[in-house]
Amino acid sequence: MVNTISENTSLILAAEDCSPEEFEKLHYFSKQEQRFISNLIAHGPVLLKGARGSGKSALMIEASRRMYPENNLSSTFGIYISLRHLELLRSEGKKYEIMLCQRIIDEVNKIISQVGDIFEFDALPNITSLHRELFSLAIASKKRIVILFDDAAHIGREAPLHDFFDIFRTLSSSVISCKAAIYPGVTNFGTRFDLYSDATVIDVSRNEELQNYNTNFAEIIKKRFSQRLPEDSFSGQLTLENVAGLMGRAVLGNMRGFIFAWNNLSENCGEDKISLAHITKTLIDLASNYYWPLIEELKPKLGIYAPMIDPATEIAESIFREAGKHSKQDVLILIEIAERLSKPLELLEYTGFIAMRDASRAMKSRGRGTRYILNLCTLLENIPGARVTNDIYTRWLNEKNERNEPLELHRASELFKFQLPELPKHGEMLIFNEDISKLKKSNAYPYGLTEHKIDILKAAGYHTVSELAEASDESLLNLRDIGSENLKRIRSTVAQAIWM
Amino acid sequence: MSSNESGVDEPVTNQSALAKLLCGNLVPDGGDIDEVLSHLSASIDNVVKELVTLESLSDNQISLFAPFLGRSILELGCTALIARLDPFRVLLLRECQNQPNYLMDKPHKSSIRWQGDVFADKVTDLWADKSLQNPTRALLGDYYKTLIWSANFDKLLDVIKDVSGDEWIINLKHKKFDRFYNETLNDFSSLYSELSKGIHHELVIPLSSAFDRKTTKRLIEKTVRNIATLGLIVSVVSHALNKLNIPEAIAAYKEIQQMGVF
Repeated sequence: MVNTISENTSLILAAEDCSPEEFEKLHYFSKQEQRFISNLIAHGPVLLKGARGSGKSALMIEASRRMYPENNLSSTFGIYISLRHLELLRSEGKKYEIMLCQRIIDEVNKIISQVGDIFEFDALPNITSLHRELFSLAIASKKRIVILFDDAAHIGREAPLHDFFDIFRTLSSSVISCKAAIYPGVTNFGTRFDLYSDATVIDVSRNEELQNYNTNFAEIIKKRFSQRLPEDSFSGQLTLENVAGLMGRAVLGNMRGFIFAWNNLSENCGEDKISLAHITKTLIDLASNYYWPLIEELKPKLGIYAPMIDPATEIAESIFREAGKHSKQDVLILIEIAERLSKPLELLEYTGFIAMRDASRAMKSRGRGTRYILNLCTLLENIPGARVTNDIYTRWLNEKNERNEPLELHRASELFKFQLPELPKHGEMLIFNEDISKLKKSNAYPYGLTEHKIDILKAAGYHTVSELAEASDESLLNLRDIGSENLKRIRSTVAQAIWM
Repeated sequence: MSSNESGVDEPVTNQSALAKLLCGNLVPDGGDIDEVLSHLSASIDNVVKELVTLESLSDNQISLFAPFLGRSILELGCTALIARLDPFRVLLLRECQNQPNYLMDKPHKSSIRWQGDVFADKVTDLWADKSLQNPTRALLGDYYKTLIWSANFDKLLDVIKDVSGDEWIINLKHKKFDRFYNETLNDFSSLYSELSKGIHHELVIPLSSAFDRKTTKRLIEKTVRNIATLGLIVSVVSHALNKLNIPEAIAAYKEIQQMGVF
């Protein structure tokens, strides 16, 4: 039944890939998210922190849509800038400053031209001039200025981050505020920027303990699939709300994971009613086709942290094995262990395998631990029988809000014995030099390129991911069999490969 | 108790959740400190009443009044917490204000001061003899950090560990003490300055742009959340006056989040 109403728009996974019309049609913001958006529009520095696919870009884009010039009545001048630029990633110091300032200048000029060149803006690409001109723009427009930096800080790409946060701090004033989207695990903010003193950090994670969790995910389904789901699309005790809520929990509230899961569920059930068997199949599919490939995809992007991927994988295997054996959805890891294994645990948070819920909680076995909840897909793989039964379904939904004690992992656990490798002082982003055949449609790149397109690109001299990323639209469109739709796919696959 | 027009205290019937969390359970016909806390509670209630009407005001009115109300909550809240943790300080102030030579048009050394009673200079060695000669008793000073906030933060996390459905509590559970304390220090300091800018009309762009609806909401929310969170921790401090029981404190904390201004 679900399949009959699936539409292509449901496949759009990233907010930044949407046209303005699609964006409005596809996005739903809960009460909590509305508050996040308000914080992005309000004056004051904000860092939006969340795992890959958690919806940071959507929040930033929506905030910019609610500011001037898109909203003519707003008292705030909004400037949204995506920092997905290869050259920014490769620059440092003065060169980085010039490039970033130029990006901001270009964006401001674009907005000014949109509104009919009613303001003057003659900034040079340096922080002093830019700051002065933005200040004048605020005075002339009688509006505060908010700059939204999307994709600002990535794990493993920390060289230019101290430059970025210096600029973030220097640009901020009584009329200019900066907001940036960052990922968990970004720890290097430079010497002049203190994460928790120089900005308000908002964790974007959707928490299953909040009210209306199921309803919010059901609303997303209604938005993505324009027709209403008939009541008889679900069998037995299942309803749209509780299935959507369970799928939300399965992917730890991650929006991209949720859309992926629902698309998979639609395909799995075809013309049939959604049942526990379909949910089982979807969760198992996600475990092998979504979560593990994410780890695989991440390795070449991690720079100096690349050696942490193998331990992160082993740690995930160990945690999920133990939790599966004891039928637990969350684990409490002794703080001493969690701190020592912080980087691999951050990588697992980053990929959505786990999500931190309590930073410090008393353990029955003495001491204090950090509590993480586990994605239900990888967990199901590790539960004997690997099947969502009525009992598991009810327990995972936890509609009666019953207390479930987490599995405690202390000194006697396998985790305690894990040794981490030394990190190299410098680490290259391996993805740049990878052969483009890596971008072939696969579990890691479900919307990747066909063999045929890869051959065309190679014949034209694009052998590495970096070469393809740097190619102009024009030169790609000049190639045989590459049209505008193909170009879009090439760009989004390369973006997935290089960015997060 | 609250003051009526003639200045006579009336019994408090409807203490707001914020006043309850900050001033604790009021003791009718109690001693001097109870009178102080009753007065502070009534003052907080008065500000809360105005805060919840903000939503219906025009943008201009919001930018004019909200910073003042925010500062009032910040200052009243800090005084109430000082009164419950260190009653001597507030009794001293009360007695000084009762003296015939207390003049309204002169500054007084006994007044509660932001720098001194809430913030204080860093103490490099807390337990050195020299530091202990005149140890700071500032609410967010280094001795309070060690003896009150740090000592009771985990205790609070333990009592809220199974509370669900509360956004502020969910956020609190995300933090270890160091992060919580650094953020609190920074928030108190920046809120004080930021709200002042609205009161003193310092800015060069129109006040209604700098203190627009969204910015004001953020400031008020941040002010109330920060002070209420300290109030919540005080409910697990063993020596605090007028302590609420834990379920009452948690319920008040949740009720505060539903105040109309947000």
